[in-house]
Amino acid sequence: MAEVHIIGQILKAVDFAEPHLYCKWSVQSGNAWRLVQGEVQGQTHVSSHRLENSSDFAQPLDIHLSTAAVQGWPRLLVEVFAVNILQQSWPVGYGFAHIPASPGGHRLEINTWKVAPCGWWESVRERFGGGGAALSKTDLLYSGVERYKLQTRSSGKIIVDLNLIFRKFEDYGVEFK
Amino acid sequence: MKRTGIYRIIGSMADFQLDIKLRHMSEWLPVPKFEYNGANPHAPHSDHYPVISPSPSPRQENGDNGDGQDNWSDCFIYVPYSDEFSYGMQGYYNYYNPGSGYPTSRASIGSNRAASSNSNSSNLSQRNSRKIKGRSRQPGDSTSVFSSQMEQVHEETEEEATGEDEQQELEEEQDQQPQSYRMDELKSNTTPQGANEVFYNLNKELCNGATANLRIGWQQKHFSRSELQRYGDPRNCFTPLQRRYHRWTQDIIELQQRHELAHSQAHEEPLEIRVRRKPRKSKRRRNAQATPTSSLSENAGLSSLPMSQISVQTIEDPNFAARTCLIHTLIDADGEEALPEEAHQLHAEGFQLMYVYAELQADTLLLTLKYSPSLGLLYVYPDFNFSADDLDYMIKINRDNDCSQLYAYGFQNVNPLESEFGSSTAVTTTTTTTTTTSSQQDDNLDVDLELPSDASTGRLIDHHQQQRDWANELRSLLHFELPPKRMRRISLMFELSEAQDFENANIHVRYYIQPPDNTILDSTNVEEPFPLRGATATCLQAGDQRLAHLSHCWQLNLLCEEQHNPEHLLHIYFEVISIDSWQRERCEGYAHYAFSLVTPLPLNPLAIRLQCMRPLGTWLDDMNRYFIGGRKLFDFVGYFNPNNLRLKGGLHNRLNADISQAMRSTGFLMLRLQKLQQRQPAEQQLNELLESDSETAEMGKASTLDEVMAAYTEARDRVELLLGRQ
Repeated sequence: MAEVHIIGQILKAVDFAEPHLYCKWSVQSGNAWRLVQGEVQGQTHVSSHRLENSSDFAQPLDIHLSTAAVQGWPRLLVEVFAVNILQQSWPVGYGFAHIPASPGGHRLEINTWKVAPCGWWESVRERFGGGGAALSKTDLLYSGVERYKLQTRSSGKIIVDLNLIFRKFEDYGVEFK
Repeated sequence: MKRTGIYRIIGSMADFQLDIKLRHMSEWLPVPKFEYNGANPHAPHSDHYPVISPSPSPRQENGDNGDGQDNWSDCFIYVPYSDEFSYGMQGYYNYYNPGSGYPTSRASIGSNRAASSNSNSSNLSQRNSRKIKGRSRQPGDSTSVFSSQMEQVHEETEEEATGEDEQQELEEEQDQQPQSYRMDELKSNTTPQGANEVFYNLNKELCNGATANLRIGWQQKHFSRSELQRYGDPRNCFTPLQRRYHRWTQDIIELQQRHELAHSQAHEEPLEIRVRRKPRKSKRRRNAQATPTSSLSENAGLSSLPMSQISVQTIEDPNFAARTCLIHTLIDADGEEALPEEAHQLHAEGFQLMYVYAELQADTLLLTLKYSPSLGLLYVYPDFNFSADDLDYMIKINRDNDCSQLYAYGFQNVNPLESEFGSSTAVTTTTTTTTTTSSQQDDNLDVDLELPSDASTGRLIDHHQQQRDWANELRSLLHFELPPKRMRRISLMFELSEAQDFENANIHVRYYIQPPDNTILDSTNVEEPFPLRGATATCLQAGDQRLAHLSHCWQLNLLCEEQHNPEHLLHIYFEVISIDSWQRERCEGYAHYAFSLVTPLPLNPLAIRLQCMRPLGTWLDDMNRYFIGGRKLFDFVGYFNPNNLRLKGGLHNRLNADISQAMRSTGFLMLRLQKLQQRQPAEQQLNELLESDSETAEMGKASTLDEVMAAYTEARDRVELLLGRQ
């Protein structure tokens, strides 16, 4: 069994239109992967910044995975939610990125998008009401079949710092190049 | 001087065997005849010291005189009997010696004592009567012969043990004489003839030169004559032990009866002789003793008769010792009443006892055996390891302890040489047993000491640990999914992150992947049935001057065969399309990227910027594009093929009049690419770095195998060693 150690943190969210944000994160992987220790999903606190258009999370990540194959490489999925005065929250960003495939330190910038309103009334409600639409099935994020029919709108970015340790991959002939 | 024999016995005491051989002194002592004849004139003193020939001392003479007076008074009791004998045979005895009638009364005295040995009151009354009568008869005549008889009686009354020993020795000395006719004639007329006849009657075989052989086991019971009488009567038997003794005594009595029948048949001829002397026969029958008849016949001078008797008796009854109760034993089962006084204390100390007696004239203690089970020691008193042939040696015994008579008699009557052989044999057996036992113990200790040794334990633990590690390694190797043989697995991870600077907004990107030759698609991911093509989501109100976040990721797994050529590249084509609110599609641009599957990617690739372009077209195409929409069929695959470029003569420039090859630049795409390669672990690689890696792996495996083989060899040697010892 080869092992992967993912150690890092979710730094912050930038370039979002809404001020008060929090982030739900999770690590998705294939069938050959198994969690040895750590948490594979979590949720950050609500954060906002008065001067800059950003929200600082500083959520730590510490995951230990073991694998029997290189298929199904793990991916980091982030969902950014906005909170209004009425304590209502709605998603304002979806994004995911592959975990880097080489050891060492990495900084990831995950571009996020959100579901676009369909008509005039939805856009008015989104602006004055309780927020926009959300995906009912999150598997659409992974499959690429006819995804162009899904209309999205660009959102901000999530910046993540990761440090990766790979173990016993050389024994099975795996090379990171 | 002499010490008792102490032997250490390892094993069962029940296997103990004691061989006793009892002979007459005349058959054993190497004393010359002439010396023995010289002792004859000192007969009265030789009674006290039969083995020694010292000169008489004044004190002894004085003591003898005093004893003589007392003994004389005891002899007076049987005057009436002497009157009878003198009346019946006065002529015969008066012719040689008028006092020869007393031996007969002596014999009767012995029988009376034996009969009344169990009652003390009768003994006391007899003694009182003897003293009273003795005083009245003191003025009677006294000769040297009478004085000797008195001395014997006196010793018998005062110290039974000492008296018994002296009498026994005296009898033995006299028994030796019948072998020579001259001595027989002289002794036949002396007074001790009666005692001789009594002993002879009871031990004919012993006196005639036979040896009493008897083998005694540990705690084995042999009866004495008194015990034979006691247990022969069923009325005296109450306890189970006594009943058992009764059954055993019946066997001995039966043997005696058989012997008597044989004896009576053998004595048919003497009956004829007896006819001539009927008056004597009738009187001796009253005494229930037939021995005097045979002795008289011998005295008559018939030499052939005793020889025939001796030969017949010896052949008929070689085991006469058991029949005549010559040797008997006292064991712990008899109870402390029958055993000597010291037995009580010895039993308290935890000893097992056995006393061996020889009943000659009286019970003589031959051997005392003490065995301590806890200590495993056997004590033998006295010790017969030394020879008793040397007479001076016995003198030393007399000086060391007070049991001089007992020891002297013991050495004379038991053959030390033969018993020594027996004891030595027993000792040898014991030593052999001890040696065997000790050797067995040593073997056991050796085996026990080696098994739990620390070194072997550590070695065994290491061996098992190595085995477990090897098994884990094998399991681990088999568990990880390896590519098929002679193949290489390539895992590609694409990420399309951004798009910008296109004419129209609402863009999405479609991609097409063309793998090179000799590659197989590893379709293990069910989520993506068509991994070679796909599309991103449409990004509204973005793509023009506003940045469009596509954030589309997908993974592609390929298997490269052995014939794969690194020069063949993997091509990926991108097509950017915009759809406006009226559902009109317009082609915004085409992009292309190619790379090798085997060649490493550049280090730390942040992102790859792909410039998009589309064909220029004519003014008519522009009008259709603006008002109607749609897209012209453009062979972007053929356009990006280098071979086609060479065939058509290169790129288009503005001087060329043909507008069909003109292209227009549009926006850009940001692509991020990651790659993983997996080869066979033991496969040889072309690169030097790969070769070193493989060599390292092979060396590691070789060392592991060497360790396993070494552990196996050590374990095998150890097992062989253990099996060989067992």
